Amino acid sequence: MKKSRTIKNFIGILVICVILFIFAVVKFPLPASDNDYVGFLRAIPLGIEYKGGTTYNYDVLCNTTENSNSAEGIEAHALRIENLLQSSNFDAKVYSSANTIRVDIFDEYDAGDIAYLLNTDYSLSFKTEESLTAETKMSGTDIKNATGTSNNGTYGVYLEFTATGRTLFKELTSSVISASSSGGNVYIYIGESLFTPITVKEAIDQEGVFISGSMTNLKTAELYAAKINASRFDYEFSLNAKQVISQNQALVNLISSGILIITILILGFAWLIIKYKKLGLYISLGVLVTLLSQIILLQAVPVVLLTAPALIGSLLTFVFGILGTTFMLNKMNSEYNLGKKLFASVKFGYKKSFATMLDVFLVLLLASVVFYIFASTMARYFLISFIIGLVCYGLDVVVINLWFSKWYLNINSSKAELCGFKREESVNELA
Amino acid sequence: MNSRKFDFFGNMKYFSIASLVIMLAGLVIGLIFGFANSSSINGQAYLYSILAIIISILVLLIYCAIRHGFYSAFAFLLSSFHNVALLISLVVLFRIPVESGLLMALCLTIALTAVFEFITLSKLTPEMKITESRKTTTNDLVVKSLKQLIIIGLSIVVVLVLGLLIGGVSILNFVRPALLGTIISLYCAIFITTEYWGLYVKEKRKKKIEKDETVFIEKESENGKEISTPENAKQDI
Repeated sequence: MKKSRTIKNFIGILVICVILFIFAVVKFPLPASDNDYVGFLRAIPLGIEYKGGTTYNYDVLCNTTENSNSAEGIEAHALRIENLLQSSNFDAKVYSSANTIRVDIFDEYDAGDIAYLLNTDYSLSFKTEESLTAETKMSGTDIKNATGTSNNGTYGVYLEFTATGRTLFKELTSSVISASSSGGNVYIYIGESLFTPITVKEAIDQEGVFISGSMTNLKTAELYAAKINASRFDYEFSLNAKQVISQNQALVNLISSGILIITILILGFAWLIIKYKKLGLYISLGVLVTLLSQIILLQAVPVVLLTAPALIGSLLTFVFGILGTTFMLNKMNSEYNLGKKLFASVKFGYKKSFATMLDVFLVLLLASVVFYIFASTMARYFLISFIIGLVCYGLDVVVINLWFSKWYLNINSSKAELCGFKREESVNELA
Repeated sequence: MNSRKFDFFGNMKYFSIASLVIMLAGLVIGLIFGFANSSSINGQAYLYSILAIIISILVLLIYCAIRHGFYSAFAFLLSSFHNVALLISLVVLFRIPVESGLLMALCLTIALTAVFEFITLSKLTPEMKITESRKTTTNDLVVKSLKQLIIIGLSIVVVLVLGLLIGGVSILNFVRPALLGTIISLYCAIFITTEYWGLYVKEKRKKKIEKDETVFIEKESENGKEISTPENAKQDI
């Protein structure tokens, strides 16, 4: 009874795996909708090496001695540039490092020199008239910091002034009040576009002000904050290197990586099945479930981008999973070799290897999480894939393997040779 | 594997000297020429990398201490500093560009240091608890854990090499330091920390024997017999 139910369970899991796999790879138009269904595997965002496009590396040149070497400024510029490119209909990602900015434009093989876009006027100016030619009363250098935030449910930017900025803003608002006792407006321009007018009813002498306007969510507010922060740093971008990854080259990269993945997966599964025979086969089903969960998570977690290092990171976790499983099965084999019965061997083998496997996956996870906090964007793509894989295969090794091994014992609880377990002839089975 | 062919226990000093020479060479070259392509890394990136290394080592150190005690934490501290220093020295010597790939490799190296330690401990701990196994030498015990370490290390190396063969130039800056990091971690686990573990096993066994002796003496006294110490207890350490 137990045996047939277990076999049914395994068949059920296998069918679910097959269905999940089909849904992972297929793409079809959704009925009564203009959208397509895109499988999990296809939906994982790919890096430029697999998608094709143009990579630009820009040197960041500083025009002033103030704020000359600030990662904060470069990060703010990266966000500003990414938004600028996206609003110009480019599918782009921008990464910042020390004194360089890398721009990846996907599916675009001759975007030309985009420096003109990057160097578009981004200066911040406070004016008392709604005119570009009006005198600038305050600029980006008078701002200490800008933060996208919300105040009583309203999204906006909190501007923190420098000491000079505070005095200038007080003078500015005082002049507006003195011109008209009922108040007036201060106009803030970013580059050539009006960011927002501020209604002033009294002279403001504060460390900072909260400005709300057309910002409908926190992301928009943070973007405006980044634009304002960028204006604090007078940078220029000069093209250092440009690399075009053609569609063919991207396809070759994708196919060769696919071959690598399939080779390692086959080697892993074959190892388990050859060494541990039927038990290995059933445990492989557990690994397959984990692999599918890993794919689902990779497409579901928003910060994932499958670059070449990220792919290697995911593969490494698969290898850790296989090695962990092997370690556990070896322990079970050792217990069997001591004379224990098959059920007891599985139970005690698991018990003895559990702590070590938990240690191994936890230390890998802890180190990755700590590094993720401090890493640059490119390193984070590797680390997030690595973390996802470690969580999946860690659970597989310390939890799922036991379930599958115990289930398998419902089918076969006496024939150790079907599990690939060996015992020396001199060892007698314990009663 | 025949443990008699190579005595891991007792050769740590030669390997430590070799590591030290490489580290010194790395330091000298680093001071003269700096890192290769270091212009792409600024002060803040260096600071964050150092913070990541220190905090991750501290976190794992606490974990080791809680899980396996002082000896394990101390071994991890020594070997992780050795591995990080050696990796950075080799990166300087081979003029490998310092990019985000190095940070990923450092993460892998520190984590692998702890992984190799736990694997070694998982093999040694049960042996230390069994009094009968006093007949096996510490070298034999250490050798017992090597197979597992080599399999793990080589599997990672194979994945990285395959990745390098297929991924080509785009992945070079990550795979090169990651390969070095894996090999260094494996080298340290096999050739350097083995003597430390040998001493650890010796110490633990000594304590075990002393405990056994005390229990033996107490039992004999309780039975009103003449007290005798088992002479053979210390012979096989």
